[in-house]
Amino acid sequence: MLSLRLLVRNLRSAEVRILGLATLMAVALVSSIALFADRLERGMEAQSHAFIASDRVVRSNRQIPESWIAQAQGASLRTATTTVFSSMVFHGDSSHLASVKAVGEGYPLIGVLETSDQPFGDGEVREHRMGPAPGEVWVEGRLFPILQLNVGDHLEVGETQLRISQVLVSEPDRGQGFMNFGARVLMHAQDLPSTGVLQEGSRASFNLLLAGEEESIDTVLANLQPGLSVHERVIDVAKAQSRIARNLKTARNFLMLASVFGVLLAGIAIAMAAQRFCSRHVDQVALLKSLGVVSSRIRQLYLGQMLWLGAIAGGIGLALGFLLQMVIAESLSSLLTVNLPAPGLIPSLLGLMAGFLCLLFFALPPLWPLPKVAPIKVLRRETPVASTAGSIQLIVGFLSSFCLLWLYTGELAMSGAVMAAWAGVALVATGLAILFLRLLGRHAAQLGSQWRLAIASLKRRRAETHLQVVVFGTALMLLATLLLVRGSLLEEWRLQLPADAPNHFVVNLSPAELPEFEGLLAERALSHSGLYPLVRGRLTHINGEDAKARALAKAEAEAEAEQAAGERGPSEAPEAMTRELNLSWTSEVPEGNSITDGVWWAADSREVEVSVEQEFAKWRDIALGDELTFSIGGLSLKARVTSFRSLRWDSLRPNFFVLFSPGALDDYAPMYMTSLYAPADGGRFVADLVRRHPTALVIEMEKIFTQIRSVIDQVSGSVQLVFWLVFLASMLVLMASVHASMDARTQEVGLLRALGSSRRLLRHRLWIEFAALGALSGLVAALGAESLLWGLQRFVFDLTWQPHPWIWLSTPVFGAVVIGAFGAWSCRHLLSLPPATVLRQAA
Amino acid sequence: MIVAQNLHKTVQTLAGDLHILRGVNLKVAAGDSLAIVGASGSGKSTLLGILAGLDVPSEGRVLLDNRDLNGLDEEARAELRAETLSFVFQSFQLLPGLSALENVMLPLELQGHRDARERARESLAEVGLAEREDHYPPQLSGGEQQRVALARAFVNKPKILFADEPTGNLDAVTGSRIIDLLFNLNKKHQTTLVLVTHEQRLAERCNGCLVLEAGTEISVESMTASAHTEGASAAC
Ligand SMILES: Nc1ncnc2c1ncn2[C@@H]1O[C@H](COP(=O)(O)OP(=O)(O)O)[C@@H](O)[C@H]1O
Ligand SMILES: [Mg+2]
Repeated sequence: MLSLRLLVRNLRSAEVRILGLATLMAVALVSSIALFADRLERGMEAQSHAFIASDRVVRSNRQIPESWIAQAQGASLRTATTTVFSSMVFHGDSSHLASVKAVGEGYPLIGVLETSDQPFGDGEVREHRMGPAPGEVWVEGRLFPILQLNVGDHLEVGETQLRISQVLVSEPDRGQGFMNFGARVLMHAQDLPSTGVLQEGSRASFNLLLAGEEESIDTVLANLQPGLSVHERVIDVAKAQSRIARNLKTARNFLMLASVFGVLLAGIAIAMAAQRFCSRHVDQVALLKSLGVVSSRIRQLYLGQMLWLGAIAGGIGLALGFLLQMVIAESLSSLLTVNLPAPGLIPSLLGLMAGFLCLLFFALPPLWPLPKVAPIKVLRRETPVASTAGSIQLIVGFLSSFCLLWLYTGELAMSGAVMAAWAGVALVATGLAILFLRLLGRHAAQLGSQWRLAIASLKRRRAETHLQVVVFGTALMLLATLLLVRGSLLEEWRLQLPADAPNHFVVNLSPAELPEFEGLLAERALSHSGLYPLVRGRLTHINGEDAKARALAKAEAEAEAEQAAGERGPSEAPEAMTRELNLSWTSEVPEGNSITDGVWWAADSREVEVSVEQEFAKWRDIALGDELTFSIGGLSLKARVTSFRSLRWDSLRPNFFVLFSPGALDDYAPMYMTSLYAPADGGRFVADLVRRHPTALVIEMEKIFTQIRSVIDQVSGSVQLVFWLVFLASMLVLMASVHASMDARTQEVGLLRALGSSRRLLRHRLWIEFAALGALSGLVAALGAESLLWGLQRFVFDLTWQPHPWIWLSTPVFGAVVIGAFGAWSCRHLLSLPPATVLRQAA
Repeated sequence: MIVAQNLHKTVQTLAGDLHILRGVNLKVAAGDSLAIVGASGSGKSTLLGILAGLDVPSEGRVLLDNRDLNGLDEEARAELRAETLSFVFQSFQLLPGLSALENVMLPLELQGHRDARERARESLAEVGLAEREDHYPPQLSGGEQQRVALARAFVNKPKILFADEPTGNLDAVTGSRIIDLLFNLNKKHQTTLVLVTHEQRLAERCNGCLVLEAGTEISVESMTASAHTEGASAAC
């Protein structure tokens, strides 16, 4: 208890407050992310039993045969069918590409549907154990503003009109945990034929839901499975979940990485404040010893103070973390389709632990020698005090940082990479700082005495200056990069497109509709980028060898290398190997494609040839001359690889991984697709098009952009929150460092005041000093952000790099203003002290 | 109460060994007061530190309250200090972050006394600073700070008080007030006093006196003969 009292008294001094603030910050950063991630994970887990609205789902790309249903019902399983597809829905002149789900009797087998009377309203939520009645639809809330809907209105789905009777709040098998792009429209399976949307070859997933005794399910599935084609698969909860869990974990670790980085900055502030605390308490410890306190008791008293500090600051930090995670959850709420449970205990403890670990790792080394101060020091002030060597502190700090990163992200390689990258940034930043100071130093004389004094001050505290440039530089760099990615990446890509680049994709046109479609375009003087037939199929064999088994073998062989490089996990790859592909054929090399190897087929070729996209081929180990076997609608088709192509994905034209020679797919009931440019006309063209071709799907790029934009905004909003906290943590370092230099500054200011410097001049000088520091950090940040972005554009997004001149201006200015203001503010009391007092204090 | 026999202190410095004390002997009876005088650098503080068990002699021994300090390790000496000793320093040594009252409470709190606050108030009242208990050291004048230090020194009723140039940082008038206060309290609490000073005037108020000269042990017998050094040469 005595240590608590001592702590409360010590809180009057700035360094202890900085220790407390930094600890608080560390806890808030870690707990907010840990709490939110945990809520999300548990929320999804809680829904997992109803994750697929059943115990198992058999998913197919064709109508579920009656015989399967009969077989399941024969084994006294409960069954239901659902059909999910994308379709344009209309109300008045507005349209939306919705994700329609038609559900039969019995759906959902497990879990409940939730609806309400009002979109977004606080309307009462009702639970249902069955879907809408025939003739009715339940529509997701976000569709209401898009189409200006009201409950009771009629929604056009294909050729029929269905009455909106409820607002859909949640479905047990919405899946992913994150929203799909199209808003959900839930209808009854009976109404499906009247819409006329689904035709032979239309893209849809047909699901057979099964629930009942585990044994019976296994028996039924064991019977069904041999008959399943590559187009059909069985989904169970664990499988559906593991992928999502993996993605979630990556997202969590990324955010955790950012927040632990903030913790490290807080750690630096803690180390600096602890150093100051130590030097201030040397006299106090000597005095306590003269009062008869033994070393062990002193250790205990100070340890006690640190523990109390950790507990109190940690408690407040945790409360702040709670608030922050609420803000994050709120900002992502429209993206999330799960109900989040209350925050849990374990992540709270994890957060609290971060505070204690920070104190342990960063405050303990500087404080370690404190209890060993010799008591004679009360009489002889010159008695030297042992202190932990700077190099030891640096090494301990570096190792601790690495441990914290590893501990909280669980990613060894990533933690190592981050530390290495940071060390690199630190090196560059220090180099720049040295250069910059030397340059300024040379020219400071011309700039006047204020500048000379300010630069001298930066140079005198060289080590602190460098450290701060590194700290602010990295914090600002993170913020600047995020702002760039968020603000300009998408826009820059769009600017790189020609003005008349296609902005609509039209899919699902039947051959019979083509003349009318072309007529419509001609009427409006529009042209398309070529009509491509489209069938969906899977690659099943390569040279007669099972593609999946081959992929599995290859993945195993490369597992280690791939994992080290952080690429797609091997467990994911084989699944993707046989995923459904869009297949097409053409006689000419499509615009934007170029042959990288092999030869394009001759016009009179009789053989079935394919041209494969080069990356696609590389990933699957396909060579020229290989024989590929495709399964299309249950039939199999063999083709020889005669060329490889490269694609321009941003051409906004239909692009295909696999192209066949002309006529090869004629027997497989192709539907046609194209892309075209149509000027903005308030959606009338699209409305016209879909009225005349009700089965056609129109994808409007403008809407996709808007959606991507809003997702980016929401996600980056929460990332940004974390980054701002990281920046705040860097301000703590400034605070600690200014505080550490306070004695020397007091002396300087006193002297200058005595020599007749006015308060205004002194303030001016402080501003110059801190603004120069901020500007330099901003410069480092701009350099870092620009390089990061260059890497992203060049290697991740495959875009042409463009310089971002404004960032070179805005970050230094931002740094100069913020750090200048904050630095001058932290020194404000120096200026208001009467010169006599300043000199006396300094003495 | 205090007996020192043949104290030597040698320290190593960059310039070679420095022999600060060379065979100091002294004896102070309970309730008596001893002045240690000498020029700056003559080893007064070093001697005081050894007598109080803050430092150890290179040779010789000290008996404090009948206990041989040589037989005690630092922890045991600390315990002894807590029970029997108090200090007043030239530079006051108040904790700047604590109020006057909290500074005075500190020794009691460390010993776990429940009535720390009341006793500290009384002690502050004794030095005439009852009104200033909430003030912090930087808000007090030098003389006031030293009075707070006196209150702290007497608050746990020590048997022996060590004072190292208590007026060294004060002007003459304030200094003599502090000295008056010190001797009054000393009388009132029946404390044994060891006072380091370079002022003859002050030394005269003690009933024993020991002179150290220029780092060597040249020293002096006292008026009451309760303090004794080898090779005594002159009276104060
Ligand atoms: N631990 C030490 N290391 C080096 N020199 C010391 C040490 N202790 C004392 N001295 C030196 O011994 C001399 C006596 O010091 P001190 O006892 O403080 O003298 P006084 O208190 O009489 O002024 C001084 O010159 C001082 O510098
Ligand atoms: Mg001295």
